[in-house]
Amino acid sequence: MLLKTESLCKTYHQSRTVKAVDMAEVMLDAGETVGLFGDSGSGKTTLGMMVAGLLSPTSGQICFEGQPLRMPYRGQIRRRIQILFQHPETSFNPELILLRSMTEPYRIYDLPYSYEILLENISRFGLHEEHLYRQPSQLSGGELQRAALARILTIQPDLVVLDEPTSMLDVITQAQIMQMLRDYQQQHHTAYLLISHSKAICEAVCTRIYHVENGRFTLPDPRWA
Amino acid sequence: MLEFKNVSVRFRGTGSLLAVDDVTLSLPKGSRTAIIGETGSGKSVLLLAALRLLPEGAVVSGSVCLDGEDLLHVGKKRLQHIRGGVISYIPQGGGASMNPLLKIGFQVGEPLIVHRQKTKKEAMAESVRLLRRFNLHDEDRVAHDYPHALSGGMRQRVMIAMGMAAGPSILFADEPTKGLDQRRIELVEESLQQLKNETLLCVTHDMGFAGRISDAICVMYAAQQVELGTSKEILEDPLHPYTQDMLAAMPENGMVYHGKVGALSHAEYIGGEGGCRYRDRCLYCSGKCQEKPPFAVVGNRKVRCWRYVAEN
Repeated sequence: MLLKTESLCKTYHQSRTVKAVDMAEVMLDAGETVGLFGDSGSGKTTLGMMVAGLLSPTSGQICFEGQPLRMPYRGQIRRRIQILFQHPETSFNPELILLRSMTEPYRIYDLPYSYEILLENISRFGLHEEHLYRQPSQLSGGELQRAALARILTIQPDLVVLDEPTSMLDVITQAQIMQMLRDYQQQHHTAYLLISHSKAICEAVCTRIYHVENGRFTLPDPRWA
Repeated sequence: MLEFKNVSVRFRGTGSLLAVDDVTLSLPKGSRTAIIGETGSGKSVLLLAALRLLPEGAVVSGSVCLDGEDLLHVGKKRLQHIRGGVISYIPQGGGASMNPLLKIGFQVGEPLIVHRQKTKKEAMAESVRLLRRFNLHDEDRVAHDYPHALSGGMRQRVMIAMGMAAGPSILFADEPTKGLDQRRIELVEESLQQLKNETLLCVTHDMGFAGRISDAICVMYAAQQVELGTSKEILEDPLHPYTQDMLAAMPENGMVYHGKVGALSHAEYIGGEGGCRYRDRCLYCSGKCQEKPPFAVVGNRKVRCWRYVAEN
């Protein structure tokens, strides 16, 4: 088992107390795509953020390859678990041209880099050299999401949390991005935790789907169990 | 009657690149039209061009006639009356369009103060009635809330209520369901179904939603119209290869896409030497596609593809 959450809870204390994630038991194997399906505000993204190490659980734990993870993530765990956000523009520094943002993972993780390697990498995700010299504001949502995906997959993570990766995109770009993810998964055996409010998308790509309602995660359909 | 005639939009500094290329579209009174296409295809720019809301660097040609009056040339005072009073525009991302420091009720009623000379008190009472009409339950409380207290779906419905406040006859809605979940999409749909005599022009990339709220669909690709017809015909029997590919790529149909994977390059966007802009991604591409296809009449609709020109 690659990922297992055990009695995971997250409570927000604002004007009132909200239990966003309530005793979640979610499991994910290597190379598998598991869906979290539910309405906005049901707790899907909170769980995804905890798995990605961006939020600390109130109680319970997250186990990765059988070992409980400790916050904040350090070292290889930070590389091995990545997240792709719904709004790709929030993933890029608005002041930098794409070229500078795209070279960051090579620098941070000390990967072999040359301009040709970068060009080959972005071309796999359907981007062209001309895109590298634009700022995020000059790129469409689809182009930015491709760039975000290319940047994440450069460092070969074992698990990617996909938080509504295509809900802002047109259907063809959506299908292309899901196809890229599937191709990459077949080659690298990467696991995906797909957060979506579209049941049709979950059913098209997931091996199991958790239904999320008021912070509770269930496998309602025996087909997916 | 609102008529877009040969409307083109170019942004200074982008050379010959057109953001909207020769669009002609008629919206009879009470009609419901959806414009669908991918991001960057020029859908939103077309709406903004009609209301002269584009930045200064935009060069708009052609005409947008409202009952014979060209909106691209009317005086500023008249244009101010038309914006909000006759044509309402609901922008993308509802929440970002509201003032975070003003109460919902005031913002919904503001068009009544500006266009219908109502007092603040009268406008507030009318806001509550509008919020009720557009399914914002507990409308008295909502009217006294600030935007941050509402969900994305609620804010979108508040924007529709605000758009309809001054009783415009035409409503432009720009991606009203983008990023919303199915339940909230249904609520926005219900709100748009509330419109009875108003003309609706809705930009969306959600084909299912377009089919449910419109009676005509205009498909745009790389700044050009590629197919125009009734929603039923286009969704049941699409003719243009791009429309066919869009339908096949819908999650309900298995998310299948056989065309070339990738973002549009500049060369593709302008169509190389002027040929069909979809040819590099098209399964039916032939030598003829190096030439620019006409937007030809095929039965009850119009299609920009050489396959149908040859048949006729």
